[in-house]
Amino acid sequence: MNSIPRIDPHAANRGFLAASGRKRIARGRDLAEGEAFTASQQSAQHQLPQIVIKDPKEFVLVCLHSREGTLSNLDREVLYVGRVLAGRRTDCALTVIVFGDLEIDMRQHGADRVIILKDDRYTGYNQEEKLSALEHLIDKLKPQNILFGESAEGDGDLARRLAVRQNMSIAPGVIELDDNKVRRFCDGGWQQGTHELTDILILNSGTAEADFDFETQALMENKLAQIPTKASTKEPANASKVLQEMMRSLSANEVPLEEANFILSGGNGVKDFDKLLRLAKAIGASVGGSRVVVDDGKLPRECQVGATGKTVVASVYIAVGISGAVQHLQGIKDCRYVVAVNLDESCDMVKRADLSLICDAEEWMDSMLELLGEESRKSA
Amino acid sequence: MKAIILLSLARHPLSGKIICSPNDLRALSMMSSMMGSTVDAELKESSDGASNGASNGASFELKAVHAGDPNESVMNEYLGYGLPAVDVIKTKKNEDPCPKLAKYLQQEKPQLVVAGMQALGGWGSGLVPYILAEQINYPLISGTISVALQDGQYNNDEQLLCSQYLPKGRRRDFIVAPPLFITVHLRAPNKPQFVWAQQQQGEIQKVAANANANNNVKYKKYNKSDKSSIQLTDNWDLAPADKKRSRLSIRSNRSGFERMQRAVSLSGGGGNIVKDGSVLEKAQITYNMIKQNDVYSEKK
Repeated sequence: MNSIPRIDPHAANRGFLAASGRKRIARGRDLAEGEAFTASQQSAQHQLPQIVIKDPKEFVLVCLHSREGTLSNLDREVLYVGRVLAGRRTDCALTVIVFGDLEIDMRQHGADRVIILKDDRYTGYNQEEKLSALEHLIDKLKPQNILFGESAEGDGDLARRLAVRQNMSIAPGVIELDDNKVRRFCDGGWQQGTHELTDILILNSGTAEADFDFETQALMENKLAQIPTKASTKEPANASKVLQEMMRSLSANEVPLEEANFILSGGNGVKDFDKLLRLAKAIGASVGGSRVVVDDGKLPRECQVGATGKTVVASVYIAVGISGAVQHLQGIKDCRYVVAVNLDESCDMVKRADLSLICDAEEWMDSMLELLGEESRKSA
Repeated sequence: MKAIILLSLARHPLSGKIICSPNDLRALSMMSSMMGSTVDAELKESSDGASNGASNGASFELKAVHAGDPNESVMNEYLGYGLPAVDVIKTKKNEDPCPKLAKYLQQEKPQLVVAGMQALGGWGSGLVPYILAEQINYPLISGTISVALQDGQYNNDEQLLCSQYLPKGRRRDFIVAPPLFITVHLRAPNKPQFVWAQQQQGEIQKVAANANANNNVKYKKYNKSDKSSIQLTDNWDLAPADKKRSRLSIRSNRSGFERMQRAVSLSGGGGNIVKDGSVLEKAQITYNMIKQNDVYSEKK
């Protein structure tokens, strides 16, 4: 008679424990008989699938430059594409060559093997040295594809040098790719070319989601990282002409806001903008502002950060008295470390920020100036 | 000092018309400011009366070259931006311009070759400077935003001071002994002035690049039969551009619910919120943070 199975909503094993620690009920996700809601269950649910490649026969290479120990969004996309290309073959590992230091966990970035090259000879614009290191590794690993990002740090530059030197096929400015085809725009964006995967791929941003929902091994290849110095005494004729190479950073008031590395931004919570400018000068930050203060004429239009203003990519962004309208948050989405100084703990900027200080903007600026004065007196 | 600028033609992104390439105009603008400062220095020298024959004379010669159709009328426009003449090497449609350009550069022996980052028409791969630099054996610095001539600090020859663009307000300066090949970054100022009279005075010169070609040019043949054809478009399927793009992603076999749950658990939390303590303590926290992040620069 009772053909339809009934579910008892009050049964002890009904539902499951969500990540937040609350009991949730959803179809087909009940606990097994006799199982209890425990913390171990919660962690099991978070376990990401592991990708383990024991003895790789084939390789896909990704080559990138780190900056301040981290990777850019474009780098993450390139790594994701590399992982996908490696994943469509058996026993194929994604080997990542990083020029510079790395502080992040590469297991969460799809790398099966990691080669870190941070010798002195790879610092600066030493493209010839980097090229010979790459040539050495390519010779050792015989990769299927070598991926680069079209980044401003010189990855695309290196890729083109490599293609010309090694006579490899190359697809620059790739905008879309799948398992066997790449697509790029040409003729000023009026035409597109499609081709099977080339040896070298230079990816534009926006080719992949970079949503790593798996974990890889990221084994360090310290042995491979030992690149022999060039044995041949015959220097290429085009190597030794650079007499001097220097790095410099533009001072905070010279840097366009879009490029600035450190921004102090003021919003409606700030009354005294002279003080804000003084503080910015004291800590060496560029000055930004929210739409309201720019509309009020307290800061020039060039300073506006957000959807109608500028999109900034600072390493450190301090938002003083900015509550965080969606448009403003959109403008700072690529900032690495955001500090919110605000009286309202529940505002959106505090939710976005990595560090939030709940206090009055004016008082905070006074204390900062006081502190900086003290510090400079100490050092003097 | 002799500099050669490589010119290309672009396709306008909206109208599709053939235009002067904005990237090459940046290079041209960089060259004319360099030339201007050199000419100023020369004038100053002559007004000082220091006209002894021993002075190495900061004469500056700028030539421009384009490989393509010599009858293309848009090339005339470049003349208006201050070039007295443009050499055009005739190439067929879809012909690789690199061998002829390499031969031309080999003949001319410039101290400086300047090009835009990449062409905004044609294949636009940004490879031509690399191929040419390799063939004529010049060092190449990509993405420069300024270049200047300076007197030798290390020896008596002229030297080039050029700075390369790097993101986040960083620049890398080089002092280089010529010859040098540079490409000009998109952030370099693009403000050349178009003067109609200059356009009328200027002239397009057809040149044959293979005349008296130096046989030392080693041009790597990109063999089409093996898969290493570098920038030839032959193996590529060309079609009108489809602006739609789809992002590559691994198809997840987990349910929507699981993905949703993961997204929720990842986005939760937020940063460190400091509520208690005096304002001075909070300022100290900020100060420590900016010290830690290595962005604090002492006031000069």
